[in-house]
Amino acid sequence: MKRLSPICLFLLLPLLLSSCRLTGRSEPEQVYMVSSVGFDRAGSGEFLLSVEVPLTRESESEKMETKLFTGAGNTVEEALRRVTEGLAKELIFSHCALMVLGDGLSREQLEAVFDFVGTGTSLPLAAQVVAAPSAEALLRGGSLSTPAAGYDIPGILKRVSGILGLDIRCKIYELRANATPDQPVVLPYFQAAGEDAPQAALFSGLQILRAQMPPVSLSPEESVYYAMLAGRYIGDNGSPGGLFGAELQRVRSDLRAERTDAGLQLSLSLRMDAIARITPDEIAVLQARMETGAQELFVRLQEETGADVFFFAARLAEHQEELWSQLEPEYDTLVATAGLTVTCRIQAKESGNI
Amino acid sequence: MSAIINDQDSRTLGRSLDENLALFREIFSLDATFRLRDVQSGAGVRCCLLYLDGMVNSELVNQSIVRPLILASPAEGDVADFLEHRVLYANDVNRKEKLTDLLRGLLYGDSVLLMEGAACGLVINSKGWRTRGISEPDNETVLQGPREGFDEAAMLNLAQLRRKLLTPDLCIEMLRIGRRTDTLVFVCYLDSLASPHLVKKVKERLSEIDIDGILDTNYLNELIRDRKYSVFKTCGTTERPDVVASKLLEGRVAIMVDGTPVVLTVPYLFSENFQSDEDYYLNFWVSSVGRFLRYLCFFITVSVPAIYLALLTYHKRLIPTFLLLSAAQSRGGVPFSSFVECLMLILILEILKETGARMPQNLGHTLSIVGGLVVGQAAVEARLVSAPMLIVVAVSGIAGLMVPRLRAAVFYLRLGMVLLAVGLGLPGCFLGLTLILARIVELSSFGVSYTRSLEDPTVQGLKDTVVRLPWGMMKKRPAFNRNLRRQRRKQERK
Repeated sequence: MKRLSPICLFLLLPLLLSSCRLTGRSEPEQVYMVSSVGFDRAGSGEFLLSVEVPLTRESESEKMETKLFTGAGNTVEEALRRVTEGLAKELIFSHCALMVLGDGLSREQLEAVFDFVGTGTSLPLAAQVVAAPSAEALLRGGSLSTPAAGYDIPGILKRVSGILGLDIRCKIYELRANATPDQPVVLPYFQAAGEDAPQAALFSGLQILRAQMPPVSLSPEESVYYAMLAGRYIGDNGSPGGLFGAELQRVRSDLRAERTDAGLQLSLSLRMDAIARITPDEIAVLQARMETGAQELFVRLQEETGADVFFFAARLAEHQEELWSQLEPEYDTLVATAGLTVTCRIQAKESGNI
Repeated sequence: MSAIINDQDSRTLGRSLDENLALFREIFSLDATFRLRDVQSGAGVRCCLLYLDGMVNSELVNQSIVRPLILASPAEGDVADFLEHRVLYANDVNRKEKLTDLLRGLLYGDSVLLMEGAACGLVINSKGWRTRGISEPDNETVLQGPREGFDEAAMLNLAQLRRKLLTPDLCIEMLRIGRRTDTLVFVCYLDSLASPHLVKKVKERLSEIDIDGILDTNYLNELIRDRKYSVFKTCGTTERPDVVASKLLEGRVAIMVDGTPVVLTVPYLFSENFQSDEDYYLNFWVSSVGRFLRYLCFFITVSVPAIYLALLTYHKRLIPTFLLLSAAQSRGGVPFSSFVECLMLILILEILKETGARMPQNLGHTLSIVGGLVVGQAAVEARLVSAPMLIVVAVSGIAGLMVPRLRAAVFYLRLGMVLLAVGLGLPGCFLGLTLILARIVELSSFGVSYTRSLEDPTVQGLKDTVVRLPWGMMKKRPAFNRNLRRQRRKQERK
């Protein structure tokens, strides 16, 4: 053993000093760090891959620039190969914060993107996924402050969701864990801001992607009603001013289903707390507005999609198991014609009377 | 004439003074400091005083030896006995017949008195060589506590130690090591506390040494330690008498060498590398923070450059995004790889440390500042090195200063870790740390496991390791001492 140790060390040393490329060693300035990636569907049916990388600056006083590389291919892998073959540096995806899906991508093609993400790119599962009319256009907008739009958009999303009280679950690992191929995927929808706009991108609401159906877009106000219906409204996180001028926190959201002769009747009961000072009259107006808004959104989406895009099935399976076992075989048919009654009760934590 | 004092040499003096003097003249024929003083003593016998100029106290020789000899009354009975007990004023006079013993005395600063008709000589204590005096050791300064330090005279050092341990239990055994230097080596221990097995082992190892000369305790250190090629110290060193006394009170053995202020203490455990001399003189809260920081700094100094290198070159995804961007930006234009950059900076750091230590103090400070600030700044601006790597290596270097007793080990360990990191990434770093840990655990010091003090997970076992508990809780001596007398304090009355 005493003789073997120096022999082993002697053999190991050249290996350590050889800097063999097979070990994947590279200096930080020899790679492009991808900050955001976008997927579009080109007119010819090809995948258009857009990759945004921040460029290093010569001095601290210079603004950090970003560069967008694009490539097209019949598959996502081919598109990536087209991007990388013209680059002097290797692309690393381990710090990618944002994935943008263009409108041209369908729900089925999203699976192909997820498969690509999961193999070989090392794209972090905590990267956020958003939708946009054109991923390339959104990413080409760049950023005014942080290294890349990839870092602005998650920040915008966090603030907006706090202001609107939305529980938006759009990280890759959340989507992979919760969405089966036949379930809808709900993504935040961003549009590229104009040249004079102070921010890089504008939050335009939510977009619902469904299997074999075109996506459905919701405005910010509709997004709040959608969140209430889907049980994803968490209320204000402390940001000033809510959508309705009052800071509403969801206390409880109960969904009940009942089988009637007419079909399926759903009733959603919302109990919320108003944090700001609010008078009884204002409460009444707010309650009516929310009940009406939620009701109208339900009817619109029911007509457009004819499917359960509010994840009612999961809630029924959890809270009304016996009924769900009866409904499940024909649920898709029933939900297309189901009725919904929304009841909203707002309780003021502080009275408006002085 | 053999230049080596050999205990096997059984030659003795003759009765003829002239023959004896001729013998000594021959031995010291090339020594210009050898002196002979013929004295016609009042005792009626011709004497001759031999000494080495510069080694004796001239005033003492004159007043205590020469003057009494001249003024002595006629001798009664054996002349040597008469002079030894009734004439000479010295505090220590020994009658020796063997040539070897007389030479030893002469060479150590004693005076030798030869008498006509006596087949012996009197070795008279007249040592007068100059010593440096008691001063605080430069490398072991304290903010609070004793400031005495040893000097090069072993007898004075033993006196300082004796003042700390006013007990007849203190044993001081003398050996002579070195064929040409015949250096005095003292083995000190407390008879009731030190393990007899340990003392025996120390004396055996010292006796086995066969070397021309011993000029410093480090000669002994490298010859008697358990693992001769290990980078970790397995024998403690100190220049402070209070430290030696505290080690003896824990059952350790101290080895003192004449001619050097550095004293060895054995066994030496890994946890002692992180102890400071003043840990026991400051409040235990303060001491505990210092102890913890030293352990942390050891880890930092050994592993931080390697971990940073591994993350930067292999595991970029583990680095925060903005830090990675900053690192990439700072490395723009640097012509060397991160590995070479790191090696260069480690080397420069060691050069600066050595330069600062070797230069005269006024120059050393200036060079350190110039080297550290100016050269570092200029190197970054010239894009020879990147700022993050410079900071990492500098932090590692500063952390290494917190554990001065591991100075040599730290350099080699840091280098080894960097090599493993550049070859294998983070797994290489973990492999390196594992190997270091395995090596530390494997070591022993005079039969005691190197990590003995860290093996007992009880409060009493860890009371003086990562933290220093208050004296009220330090009831027992360290567990490595197999002597049964572990109780340090009497049980307090309830």
